[in-house]
Amino acid sequence: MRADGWIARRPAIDIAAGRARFVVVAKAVVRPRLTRFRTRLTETGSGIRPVAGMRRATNRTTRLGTPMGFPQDAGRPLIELASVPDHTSRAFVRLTRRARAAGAVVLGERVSAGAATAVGMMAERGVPLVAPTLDPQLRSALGPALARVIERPPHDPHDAHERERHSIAVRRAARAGTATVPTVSVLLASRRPADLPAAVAMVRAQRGCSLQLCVGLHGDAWPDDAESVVSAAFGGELVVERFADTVDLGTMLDTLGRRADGQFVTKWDDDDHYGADHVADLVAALGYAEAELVGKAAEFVHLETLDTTIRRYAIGAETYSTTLAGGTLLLRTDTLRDIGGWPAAPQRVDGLLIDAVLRAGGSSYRTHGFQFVLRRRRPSATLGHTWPASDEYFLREAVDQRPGLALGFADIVEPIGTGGPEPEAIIR
Amino acid sequence: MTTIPGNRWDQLDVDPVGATRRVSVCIPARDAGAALDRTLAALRVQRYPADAFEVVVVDDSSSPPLAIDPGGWPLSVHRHDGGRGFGAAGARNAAAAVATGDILVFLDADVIPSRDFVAAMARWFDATDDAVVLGAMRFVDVDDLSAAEVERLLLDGSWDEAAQARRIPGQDWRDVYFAQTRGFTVDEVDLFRVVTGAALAVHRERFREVGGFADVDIRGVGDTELGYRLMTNGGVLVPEAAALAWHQGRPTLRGGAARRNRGERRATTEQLLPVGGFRGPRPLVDADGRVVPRAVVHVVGDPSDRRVARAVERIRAVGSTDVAVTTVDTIAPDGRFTPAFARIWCSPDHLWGPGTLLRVIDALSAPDVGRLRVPSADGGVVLEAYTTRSLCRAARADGASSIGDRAARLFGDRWVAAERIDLRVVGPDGSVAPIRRRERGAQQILARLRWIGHTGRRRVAQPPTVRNGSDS
Repeated sequence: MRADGWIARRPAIDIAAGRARFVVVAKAVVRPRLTRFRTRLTETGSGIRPVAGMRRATNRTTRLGTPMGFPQDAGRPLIELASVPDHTSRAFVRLTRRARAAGAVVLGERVSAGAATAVGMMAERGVPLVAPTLDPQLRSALGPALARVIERPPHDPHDAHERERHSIAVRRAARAGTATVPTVSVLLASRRPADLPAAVAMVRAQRGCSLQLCVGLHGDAWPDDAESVVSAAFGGELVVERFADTVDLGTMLDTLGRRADGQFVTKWDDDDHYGADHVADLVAALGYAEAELVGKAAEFVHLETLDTTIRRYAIGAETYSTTLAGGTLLLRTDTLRDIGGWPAAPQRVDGLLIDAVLRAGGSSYRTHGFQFVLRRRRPSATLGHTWPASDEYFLREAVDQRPGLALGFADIVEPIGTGGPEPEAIIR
Repeated sequence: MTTIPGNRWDQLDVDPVGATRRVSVCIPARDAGAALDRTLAALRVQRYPADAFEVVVVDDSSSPPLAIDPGGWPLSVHRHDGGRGFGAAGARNAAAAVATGDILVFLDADVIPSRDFVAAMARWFDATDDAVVLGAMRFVDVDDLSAAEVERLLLDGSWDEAAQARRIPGQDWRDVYFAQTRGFTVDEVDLFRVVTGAALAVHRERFREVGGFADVDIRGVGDTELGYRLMTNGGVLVPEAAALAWHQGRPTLRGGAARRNRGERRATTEQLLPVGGFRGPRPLVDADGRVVPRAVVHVVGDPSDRRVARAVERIRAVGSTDVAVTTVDTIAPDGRFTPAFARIWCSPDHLWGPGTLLRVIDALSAPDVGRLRVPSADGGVVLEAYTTRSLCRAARADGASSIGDRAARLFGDRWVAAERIDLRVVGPDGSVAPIRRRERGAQQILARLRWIGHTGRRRVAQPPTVRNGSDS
């Protein structure tokens, strides 16, 4: 490694008629691919009809610009690119396939502005691009957001965790400014007055989307002026409803969902931790996966009793899946209405929603698990969890861990939950 | 003094000019002759305060005895009659015993140090007494140079050029290993494999604590073994490129002799070095009483209690020579040095499986783990394991927290499920809870089948049962 952190060039193997130079420093792991099928949906309304079922193969051309199927395994080769093939060529398709599996893909100084489209497509697919110095014209063509991420100090290409984080940052930067700002209604049902301020602050901190916050105050623990205080804390479009203790969670969410005005609706748990790009990433995933429901798996979990943050499921992201954390579900508001609203039930409301979408012929998609940390409280904590699982269960599943509440581990780099009114001012 | 995490020697703040702590350069010599003269000539021109270092030469059974003129500088010659067998361990230990410096620099009699050698070695001890400084070694053919010529070349600044012209290949594997471990900043368990007594600096107290060089009669084992114990005692291995030393002549072991030596030392290193790369997975037969256990296990409880006695018996049965078992009143980690790689405190209410020890050792062998704990269902801890290295370092670190917490802060902390290390709960009636089957693979297959099912015509609607989220 050079003094400036960049990995020195190794003897190279020229392929693709000398247009790309691959430098292999680790053996690639080849995994069998599963052919995926999706339900064909009619393109009217929300896209869902109750009697769907025709199958189609996913459009390969469409998938070329998406991170679907992103390989999360470590130990991929390092690739150096002296040039990038034209984005319409077969060489580019082959290159992108290999590049996605790389620990890092280093863009050489001679990659010019003519390759901007190809580089952009690679970025959208999640290729972990890095570059010590970008060609000035290419930098300008890529835009400041993507150029800044690519020119960051390089990550360790053999560290799968850092590689995935960088890939996500590249994807995010690649889509920055390319889409209209979506409107999203956040459904936040809470019966924990102490947790609401931080939850509201995390919603307010979301970027890349316009938010409506729909808060359900559950139970009678709330002060009389809770609505006005929440309104002051959020500062945006707000719906606040109070619900009696006897109302079940599903009914609350259904009521809040019917008042949602956004194009999308997402569920928010008041005791979990969210990064500032959480909602925008979900909206993007809903778009490229052409799914009716998206979410994240609870990959990162803070175990309060042990005061440690674990990661499980280091593989399995960016695929169609029902393994989704309830506090991350996002779907179109029209879809929610088409399936008859949020199913009423006291528990398992997330599972019932997923099932309702699937039963209607929709599909559910799991995007990356970063920027969401599930919080497992101490057993003595009030109200506990609707998902009964022991710390032992999570530790059995753990593939990595960090001491304490390691938000940076889950790519929540900016502490969220400060800057608004003090918690005491909201909850008295 | 600074305490650094892991082996992050690069985080130590040291003065590039050098230190002034008292240094003793310890040289074992047997029939060294002209080579020793050249070495002493190089020491005479060190850029280090002359009143802050001494040279201790131990004549290791030379025949005839060495005749060295102290020549008005702090050099003393001592005789060590340890027989004519192989090994400088006895002579080095003898030199350390009479040395008066805080810092012991071990140098071979046939190694010419550069002028900054002592200063470069010594400066790290201003930052931490845990430093184990390794000089950079090159090989050079200087038979045609006299001691006076070496001294002159060093003084007029042309030594590097002259040595470069006479350089011969040797021991490049150390440079490769250095690169693989990112300059020793990755805390691999076998960093010590590059330690050589030919150019090594260590604090006198640390050297005393680990018992000095072991008397091993196979070439190439003693230095490595000392490196292991220094590292296990919390040492920070520092590769000091400025402490450049030139070995006179080719490496002592090369070609067929090196291959034979590798074969000869395998059994000995397996006995003395209880870490991956040296010790295999099976416990060894302790025929000569020299096997160093992988772990010292402290079972918490009264030894007269049947449960405790049974647990001790069980751990001895599954660990064999890989463990030394004691009983203690409570989990109270301390910084006592032991050559075992790990120290484990455990409850007698959990049964060790055949894989428990190796899985604990395996987990502790990761570069960022100093403490490993298994939680109990009631929020307590049923097993707490540390690398001896982390505890020894933590014991000397500042802080109001416990040694265990300091060790975890410096070397990393991990929790693990009992099941993952083959540990089973023993019920009050003596029954043992069965290990739960690992269902993850099966769950994944079922989830995949469900997914295929719900996308096909013949899908039977059913709620997804694999749930990983919590509701509000």
